[in-house]
Parts: sequence; C-alpha cells; structure tokens
Amino acid sequence: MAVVGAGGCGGGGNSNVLGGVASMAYISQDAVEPGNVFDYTNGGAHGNIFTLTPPTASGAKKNLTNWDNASINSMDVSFDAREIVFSAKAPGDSNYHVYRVNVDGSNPCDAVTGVVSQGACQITDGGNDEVYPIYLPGGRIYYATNKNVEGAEVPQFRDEYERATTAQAASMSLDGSDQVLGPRNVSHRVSPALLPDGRILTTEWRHLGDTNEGDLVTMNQDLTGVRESFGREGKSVANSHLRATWAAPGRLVAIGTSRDRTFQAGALVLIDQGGTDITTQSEARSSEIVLTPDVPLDRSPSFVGVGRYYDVRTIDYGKMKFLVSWSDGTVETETLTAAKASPDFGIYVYDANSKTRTPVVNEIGTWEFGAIPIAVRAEPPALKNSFVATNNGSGTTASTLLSAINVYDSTMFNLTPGSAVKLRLSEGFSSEEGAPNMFGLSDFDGMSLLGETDIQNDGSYKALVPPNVPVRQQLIDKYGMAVTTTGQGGDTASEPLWIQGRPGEARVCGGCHEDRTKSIQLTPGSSALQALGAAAFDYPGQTRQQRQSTDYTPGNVRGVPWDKALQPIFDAKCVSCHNGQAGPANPSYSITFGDMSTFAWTFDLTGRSVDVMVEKSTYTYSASHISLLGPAQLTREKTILAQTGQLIGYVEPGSAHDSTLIQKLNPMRRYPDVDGNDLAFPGKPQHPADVGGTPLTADEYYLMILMADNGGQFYSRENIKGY
Amino acid sequence: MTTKTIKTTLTCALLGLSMLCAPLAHAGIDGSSSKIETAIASGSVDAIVAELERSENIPQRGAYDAVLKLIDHPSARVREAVGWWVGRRGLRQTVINTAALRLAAQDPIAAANVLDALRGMRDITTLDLVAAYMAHPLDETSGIAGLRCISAIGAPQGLDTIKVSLGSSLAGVRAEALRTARGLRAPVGQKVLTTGASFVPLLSDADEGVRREAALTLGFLGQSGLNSDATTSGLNALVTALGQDSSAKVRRAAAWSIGEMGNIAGLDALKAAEKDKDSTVRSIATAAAGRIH
Repeated sequence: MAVVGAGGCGGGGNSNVLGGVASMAYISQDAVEPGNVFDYTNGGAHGNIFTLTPPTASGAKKNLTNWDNASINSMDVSFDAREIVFSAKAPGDSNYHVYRVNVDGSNPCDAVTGVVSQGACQITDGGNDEVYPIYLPGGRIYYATNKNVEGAEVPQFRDEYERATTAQAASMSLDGSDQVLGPRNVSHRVSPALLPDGRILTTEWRHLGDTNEGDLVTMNQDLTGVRESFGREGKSVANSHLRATWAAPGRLVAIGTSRDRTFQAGALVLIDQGGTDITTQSEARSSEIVLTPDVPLDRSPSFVGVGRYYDVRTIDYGKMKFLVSWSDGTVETETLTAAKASPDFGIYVYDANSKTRTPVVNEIGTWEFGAIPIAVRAEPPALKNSFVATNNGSGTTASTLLSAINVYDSTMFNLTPGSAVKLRLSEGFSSEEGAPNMFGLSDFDGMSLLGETDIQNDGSYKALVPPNVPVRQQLIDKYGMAVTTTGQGGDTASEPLWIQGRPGEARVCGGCHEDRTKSIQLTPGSSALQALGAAAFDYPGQTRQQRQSTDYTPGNVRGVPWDKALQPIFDAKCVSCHNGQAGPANPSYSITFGDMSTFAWTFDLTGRSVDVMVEKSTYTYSASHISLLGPAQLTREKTILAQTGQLIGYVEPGSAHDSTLIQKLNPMRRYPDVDGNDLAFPGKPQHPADVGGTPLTADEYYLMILMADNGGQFYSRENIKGY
Repeated sequence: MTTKTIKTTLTCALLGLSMLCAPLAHAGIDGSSSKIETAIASGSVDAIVAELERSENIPQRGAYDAVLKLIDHPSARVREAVGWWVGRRGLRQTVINTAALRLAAQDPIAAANVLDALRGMRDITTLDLVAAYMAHPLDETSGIAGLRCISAIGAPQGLDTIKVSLGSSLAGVRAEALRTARGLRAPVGQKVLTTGASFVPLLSDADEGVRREAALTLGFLGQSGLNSDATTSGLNALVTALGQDSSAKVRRAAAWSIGEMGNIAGLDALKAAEKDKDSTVRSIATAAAGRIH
C-alpha cells in the first residue's frame, strides 16, 4: 500500500483535507484505456470500493466489496451517508449491474429483513447494462441503461458512429423494483449528478448532422423535461464536459476535455449557469472558466507536473478547494501506450487559488478515483413533476405533446416574422433498424418525417408525436424549405438537437430557443395554442418500424428512399440530359490525391448502381446519389494535390435552401397554395423548364426538399437492408 | 458537412495548408492517414479506435493497408472497429473475400479475428458465410465470435444458425446462441421468436452459464407479453429453476426473468426466493417481486 502523505506536488499537510468530514469513499482498480468519454463498459479490472477513515495518509482503509476481479463503473453516497450505490461488472458476469452496500460494509438489503450479512447486494440483473447510479429523493435511484423503453423487440439505438449501443436515462426504487425507462435520445447519456434543487444533471452526446460533442443537460426526477444546461451556445472551451457536479448556487464543476484519447480526463472547469437558481439560469448568460489553465483542453498530450483530472467534487467553494482524481504526465493514450505506460490516477485536494494539489491517496499500479466525502447532505425535494404517465384509454401508450407559444421568440435565430408557415417534425433513428452502417454520403442519421403542422398567426403550434422517440423540429417557409435565418443557431431554423418526451408528457416551450430567463406564462385566451387541437403525428398503435411511407406523395411520405422516391423523378425529368455522357449538361471533374491516385467523375443522374472506385475505395450507390452528394465526400480528403473541373456539393445535407440542386430547380410556392409564379429564388430560371424540359411538379419539389432538409441520405426505413 | 466546412477543407487541401488550418470540430472528418498510422504504431487500442472513428467520412486511402493488417490485432475492440471502418470504404469485399478463405481453413484464431471484423462491418450479405462456419466452428472462441457477428447484423435470418448452435457441444457457443437470440431484430409487424419452447430444455443444461442465459432469454421473451408461450411453459420452467437450480447465478437470473415477465403467477416463487440461502438471489427476488403488480 502506498497511501501518499502530505507534501508531494502541492505541499502542505492533509490532516483535515475534507473540512472535518470523518471519512470518504473511493474506487480503486487497475489502469485501463477506457475509450472515449461516452464509453461506459470498458472499466478496469480488480475493482473494489474502499473507505478511508479519516481521509488522510494515516487513515484506515477498508475494502467494502472484497471482489477478486470486478470492474466498478461509478458510485454515489446516500443522503444520510449510510450507504453507497454503485454499478459494477461482478466477477464472471457479462454486464454491469447496480449494487448497494452500507458504508460499514454490511448488506443493506438483508438488513431490511433483519438478516445481518456482509458485502454488497445486487438489485439489477439481466442481459443489459445499468451504469452511473445516483440517489434520488424519495427512495429512488437514477441510472443509465441500454435497455430499450420501446420494448424488447426493438433494438436500442447505436451511437454517433453506428457502433456502441447507447445508454439511456432510467430510474428505479432502492430495492430494484419499479423500473422506469426514460424517453430515448439518439445517443448516450452518461455521468449524472443530482443538483440541490432536485434536477438531474447529465452529459449527453449531442450529434445531429456533423455535430459531435458532449453537453450538459438537466431533467426532472421522472425523466421528463430534458433541457440544455451548458455547451450548446458556443460558450464552452472544450468539446465535452463530463462528471459535472454542483459547486455552489449557479455553479458547476466539471471535466472539460476532448471526446477521445485522454482517458476520459481533462481540465477542471467552473461553469456559471447564468443565475443562482432555475428561474434565472440561462445558457445564453452562462460562462466557463478553466481552473487548471495549463491542462490541454483538447486531446494533445499534457505535461509532467500538469497532467489531467478524471473527476471532481467541491469541498469548499469559498476557498476553491476540490476533491479530485488526478494523474501526472501526458495522460494521452498514444504517447503513453508507445511508452508502455499508463496514467496513475490518485486522489488529491486541489486548491484552485494556489493551483496546488495535496495528495490524499494514490497507490502504485492502480487508479483511485470517484472519491466522495461520506457526509450527510440535504435531500433535495422529491419534485412534484407535472407529468403522470398514462395510456390513452385504448390500450396503447399515450403520446407526447410538443408545442411552442411563439416560434419567433428566439435568442439563437433571427427570424423574419411571418417567414415560418409550418413546423416539420421528423424522428431520428440509427442503423440498428437494419441499415448498413451508414445511411448515405452524409453525416446524418436515419430520419423519417412525422408530419407538418401549421404555424398559427400568433406563432404557436401544437402537435402530438410518438412517445419516447427522438424528434427534430424544423420551421419551414412557404416554399416548403427549412427557413433560412441568421444568428448562432445555424443557417436554417432547424433544431440542432433531438428532443423527446415520455408518454403523456407535454413539452411546451416559449419559442424556438426563447430567452431562458423568462418564465412561460399562458393566460386564458392569450394564445391560439389553447384553442387548437394538436396535430396528430403520433400514430398510435404503430411501431416505429411501421411508420413508413405508404406512397411518396405529401401526406404519405415518411422516409425518402433515394432509389424509390427520388430516382423515378430523375428518370422521368432529368436523365434525358444528365446521363453521364460528358458535355455541357454533365460536367466532369478529376482529382489527383496525395498518393498520386486519381478519381474522375462525370455528372450522371441515372439510377445505375455504381461501384465508384477511388483507388481502393468503393461507393456502391446510384450514380445520381454520387453525383449530387459525392463531391462533398471526396473533398473531405485533405491530400488533394490537384483537380480539374468544379467539385460541387449539389446537396447541402440539412439545408435545402443552401443546396445547389434546389437552387437550380427553384421550387415554387407551396403554402398556403401552390403558385408557380412565386419562386423561392426570384430572378433565377427554373430548371429543367429553362432548357425546355418538363418542370417538376409541386409534389416532386416537396420530395427533393425533404431529402435535402433531412440530411440527403440514400437509405431510409423504406429501402434499408434487413427488412 | 456544411458549405463552410467544405470550403475550409478544400482550401486547406488545395493550398497544402492543412497544418495551418484550425482542426475541424465536426464528426468523423478530423482524421488523416498519418494519424491513423501513428496510432497504430503506438499500439494504443483507444488511439487506434479514436483515429478510425475520427476519419469516419474521409477516404484515408493511404492507411488502407495498415488498417487491413489490424484484422489480427490482439484487441477485439480494434478488430471490430476495423470491420466498421473498412466496411465504409469499399474494402468491404476485400474483407469478405479474406473471411471466406479464413473460415474455410483450419486456423481458429484467424477465423475468430475475421469474424470480429465482420461483426463491425454488419453486412447482411455475410450471413451465409458465417452460418456455414457455424455449422462446425473450429473452437469455442471462434464460434462465439461467429454468433456475435450474427447478433450485430441482427437480421432475423440468423435464427436458423442460432438453432443449430443451441445444439453445439461447446457450452460457450450454446450460451452465446441464447444471447444472440435476444439481439435479432423483428421484421415489420412480426416477431423473430414465436415460441420459447426451444429454450426451455436448456434450463437443464449441464453448464451453469448456459442455464443462466436460457433463463434470461425466457425473461426477454416474456417482456410485455412478447411471447405468450414464454409466459406459460417458460414461466413454469423459470419457477422450477428458481427453486431448484444448484447455481445461485442461475437462480438469480430466473428470479430476474420472472420479474421481467411481470406475471402474477410467478409472485409466490419470488416471495419464497426472498429466503434463498444466497444473498444475491434474495435481493434480486425482492427487486423482481416489486415489478409484479
């Protein structure tokens, strides 16, 4: 044993490092490369939970679990400081499950029945993982799981890269009963903490289109009301924030780091939530400062004496003292593995004022992390959530209500009043539904239209959507395209994230990212919202697999399978000219890459299946898909030495308005009625009519626009393999 | 990729200024062949997987040969990531051809490695190839790798292979076949498994790992009334296992699965199990009983 004494890198004694707290708990296990910050099943071996009493070098260490070869995911201490809940993959087990153990090492489950025994009691089992448990008020536990709320027959979502199975929000009673599975996000939710006001704080992998980062969100104890907390409005200094915990009213401490290669460790950051309580907090007013200025915020190697931090809890905010897990050195996977070394995380007290660390415990050859003072803390209120899960009385699950009071009320988008005529709602999915492991030549996930509803004169809308399903909202203009805008929200008024609700949950917002400092108030008669019936896009009784196009007319189209929905249009109205024969109608380009290989392509909108060879790379899509989206793919290679001709990304995934294809076609007004004299791009010709071709119909324009706005994928539910 | 990103990337590329341009903060387009090769040289599993993921949408032609060699990397995490990566680049057929050769040969390690890569690739067209191997897997490790590949693909056509594997002489293969059965994706409006009858006999298997997976699979089938058969014969078999199996791991799984079924007929057995000699069985029985209303 090598419990480190006073001195060390930070100097100073540690006789009272936790401000008089009698004991602390921590996890000790073997070093490991845990994966990116969202990986939750790659924990080290030989894990156990220890207490250190008092939390000093001379303190007595007690092993509460006494396992030979378990892997501990994370833990939490109860409000009364009598027990610990943790997630572990026990020896011989295939999955991580939730356990409880008293801080004296006895079994709390047996104690309830009057039996005295030692060791942890297991409260979940089965073929899924349950990780990151934390105590909730009212005798409940929050955790994350890859079990699917939509039932056993529906595979769980895969992550951003269509690889790992995602971890979703859940809760249960202390004894493992009454499990509640939250609505699904498209990707992971990890490293939660409970805020003193009763909300749950967690890191959510945000990915929609080409976005890829870990942001903080909050949710209610009943897993409703997910709301952004930090990281989505350009205020963050790092790609991802994780293991965030409460520091002081309106203040959070967290690890800020790269998504990968840093052993899930990084800099210590202090986040100002923009207000001291929920009524005043606003991400628009939030800010962040780095408490460890020398630690890289990206994935570059750190330095000797600087290292990286794995987790953090506040000891004394006034004195800026934090209980941390820290390792010296580069703490970067590539450099350390090349040196046949690992980081050595140990537990320290960090003084952010003096920028010094005082060691508490660091054993040679193992990681010590997850330290929590064993001290009584106030139990937050068991929030009286405004939601009660119900079914709709006909045996099917109740729907989720989405609505906004005034979509023009936005701090992120600069929207011209009257520019939005409808709201488009689409659901997201990943390749677990049978697609090959990418949906086409864009970064977008699977998307399927749920429907479009009118924006009322006062800017409101109201729609029912399937519960538990990630949904994206887009405001669309009179031409049927996502509304263009300016501001930090993006080029179009398309929600840059997924939202979701539980059965029966009503998610009402003030606008499209309205000022979060304002409370939402609905007085009788103040909004058309209250007078209107909600648009029904919930499809009760249908599974998500069954939410498919019955045909490809507006109203019946859901996904836009390229070969089934779009190719017939190309065949009828485009390929007589755009047939792959080089000439004015079919421009060619060629690229010479850094390795001197070349790629040549001639514009071609036919549906012939093409194995496009780029040296050893083959794209097997239709010629039309490659022509319209291929250049964007090819230009991602940074080693282009030379090119002839123009590389044009004819489809801008996520924005019909910015797509050259749509600009060329120049759609006519669609809402409130079709008007061929009102074109989206005034003064420009309408192709192919400008060259004597047959114009697209309004419904054909609709499909082209929907394809572009929803990501430009080749595959959707209607044509993916496996069905 | 946004128009802005395309312009930035193209400008950097054309001007040869990639080192001077700010790193792109978007998904899957921030890698390079040299970064992949450096990660491979380091030996770091995390670095290799991270670089492959970061180059999700970039051709990275220069790294092809180096990445293909990783099919025999010691880490299954790397092998799986390699299959995912090459499958997005038209090297798919190269790996399938390699798999055909390896699975027809007599090297179980080579077979297991390429099956891990196929698992990452998740190509439904490889099902027949894997199924043929699974008729006579060379050893337990490669047999398990084959089943994990079928599970990752998830296509219901894999059920036939699972049924064959349930009769394997290799206990690990039988257990993995049960896990794989839980990973198949149902066709629209249908169910992959219409009966749990073929799993009930495995509750009497000589291997406790097989019995545990059989119990969990019956519970899986019983969730939300997914399989009515599982709520009758399956429940009865689980109740018997909960009361009589010598292994606490099996009794624990049986208790959990009875809770998954949520059938009131299982409540008495769970209440009795709250007095089991094993504390873990007791606590799981309590949790399961609390889920039956």
